[in-house]
Amino acid sequence: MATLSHQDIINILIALSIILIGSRLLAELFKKFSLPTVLGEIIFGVLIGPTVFGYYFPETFETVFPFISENPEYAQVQIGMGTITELAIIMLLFVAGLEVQLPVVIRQGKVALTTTLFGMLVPIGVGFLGVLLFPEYLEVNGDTDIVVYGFFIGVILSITALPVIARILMDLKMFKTEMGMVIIASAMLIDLLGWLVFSVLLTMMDASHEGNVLMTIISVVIFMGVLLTIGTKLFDKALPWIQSKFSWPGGVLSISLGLAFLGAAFTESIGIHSILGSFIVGVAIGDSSNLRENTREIIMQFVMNIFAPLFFVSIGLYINFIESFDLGLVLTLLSLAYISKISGATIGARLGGMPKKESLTIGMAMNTHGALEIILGTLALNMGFITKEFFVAIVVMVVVSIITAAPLIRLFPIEIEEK
Amino acid sequence: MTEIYRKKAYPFEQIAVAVTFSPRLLAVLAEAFRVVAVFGAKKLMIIHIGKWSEEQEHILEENIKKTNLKDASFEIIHEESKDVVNNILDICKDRLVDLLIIGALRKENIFDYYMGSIARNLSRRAKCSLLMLTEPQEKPKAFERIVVNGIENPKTIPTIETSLYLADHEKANEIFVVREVYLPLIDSGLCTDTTDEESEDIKKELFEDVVSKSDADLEKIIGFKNIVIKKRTIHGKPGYSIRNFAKSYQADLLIINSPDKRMGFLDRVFTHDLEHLLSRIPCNLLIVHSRRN
Repeated sequence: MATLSHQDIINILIALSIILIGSRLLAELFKKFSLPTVLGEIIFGVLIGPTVFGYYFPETFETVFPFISENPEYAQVQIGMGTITELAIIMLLFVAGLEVQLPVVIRQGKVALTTTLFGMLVPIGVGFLGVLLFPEYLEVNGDTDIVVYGFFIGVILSITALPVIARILMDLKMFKTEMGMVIIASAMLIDLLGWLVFSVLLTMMDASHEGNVLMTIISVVIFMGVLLTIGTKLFDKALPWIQSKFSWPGGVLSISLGLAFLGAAFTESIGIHSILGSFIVGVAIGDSSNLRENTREIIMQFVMNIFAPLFFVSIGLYINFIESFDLGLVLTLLSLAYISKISGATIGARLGGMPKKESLTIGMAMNTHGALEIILGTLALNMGFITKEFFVAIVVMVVVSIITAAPLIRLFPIEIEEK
Repeated sequence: MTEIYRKKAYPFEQIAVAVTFSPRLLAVLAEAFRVVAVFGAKKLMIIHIGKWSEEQEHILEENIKKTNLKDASFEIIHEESKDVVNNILDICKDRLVDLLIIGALRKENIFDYYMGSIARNLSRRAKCSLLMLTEPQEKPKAFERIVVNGIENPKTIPTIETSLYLADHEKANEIFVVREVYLPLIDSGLCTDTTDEESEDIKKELFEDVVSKSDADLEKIIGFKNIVIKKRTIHGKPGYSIRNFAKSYQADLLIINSPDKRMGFLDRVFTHDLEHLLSRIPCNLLIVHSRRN
């Protein structure tokens, strides 16, 4: 059996400690400037990756982070670190699922639905138009499947970063307002639909996948339908028993994460990416009425403070951001993102019955991108569907949208009327 | 605007009870007559929708007699129709009913719950206040342990006023106003970039904001100064947390606002607000329809 050598284990442990401690220190510095920790984590990855540290000290970089090297001597370490990153993504998606609460969406009703629909349809339409009108800027070549590529860009443009926008709304004292709840509910629904579409896209991107797309769509819909209705109710029934009979929070934590991995394994086995399984299990568990808020908080703390940094720092470790920076592509993607998302969500909110100013603010807020777009980009990059340049453009789009979100929301001062 | 919408939620002048020929008929009637007496209504409208025969009329009259109420004034309204819910609602609208009383099971089987039983559907659609009696007694007692939902909503103050009016007539000394605060995603928004202290401060600020607003609203209520308003703020999903509170407080009456929108099948699948209560009613439930709002 192939195992990690003594030195491999030491290397991995040192790399993990550098990632966790370093990213935390930078994240804390970013916090002083009211910037989210995720930015600190991404920037730390860029600093210690081939863009800066690896560029100036290539040998030391290869020694400290051997899993980045293409040297076959480090194959075992690469597998070890790859597994950790894969687990991190699965757990991040599980937490993303926990954040989606369908009762909150249903409670908001029509306005959340129209904001979601237009907040998705317009970016997807613009994604297609972008591919057709600016093929040279969006790296479309002869081999590109225009439909899948357009959809992919559309989904990237349409997702709203839930935790980031929640925090911005809290800081702006808008969290508890009617408008704040519309933003939160729409972002939740977009997350759900976005991952549904993306899981189908992943199957379409995967050249090795032999199953047909219709079967994939049917499987995804059945899986989601069953888990979000019967699954949630079953978990809801079992939860009081688990919470009273098992150790707390250990019992709920083990069972929740165990179910997330089981869901991930199931979707992977039926030809859909594992992330969808953990995401849907997260939604099903998160929707449970009996799930204590502090249980949700503990799971989030555990994943967001340990596994999230591992993933976000690793982004910068694998890519030279300066070499792969394409200004034309970045500006095109940024323009498409701002135009499509702001206009789409604004139109949707207006059609849902929100006043003009509030609708514009909703549009601005919905154009806050985050972790999920980066995960989406990473998966597409790993499958060879997009280039490193495109991935860097996605990361830049996320960073810029987070930085500009609060000032843009403040552009249309409205009288805050709490819900 | 129809006449019914010009009426306030209280006083309860026109009271009706919807009955079926179940083993709880006598208990529901006894409770309804008691309520009529408490609020000084002129008569009780007894509504029955469905097949009607002389035998049923006889059973109903026998049960009314068994309630042993002297001078009990009532009117029996019956219609032979299969559309029970709409017929009851139409009668309530035509007769300007202020309070409709029905018997309801605490928990229904899964099919009835999702498809919608008569009692549950009435509670979702009634345009007047609705008292759902989960455990009606043949020898009814006054409501003493009253819990009122104080959630942030324009309907809440009329609901609390109605609760005070009810408590006053029931000779209850106090009501318990429970303010449910639910802030979805608050933990997720705070989990990575706040210290423990900052996180607590933000949560405290959001909570205190709700409490101060609610206190200010309660100050505006005129009258009923003889009744003590106890206050409690709880964090949890609307409907779900107050259900648990009412259960642990051993309330005999829970009073809530009427739903803001017509609840449908999806609201039952992805349960929220009123549906949490209807999925397992903790005690007698009064849904106040503050019609003028």
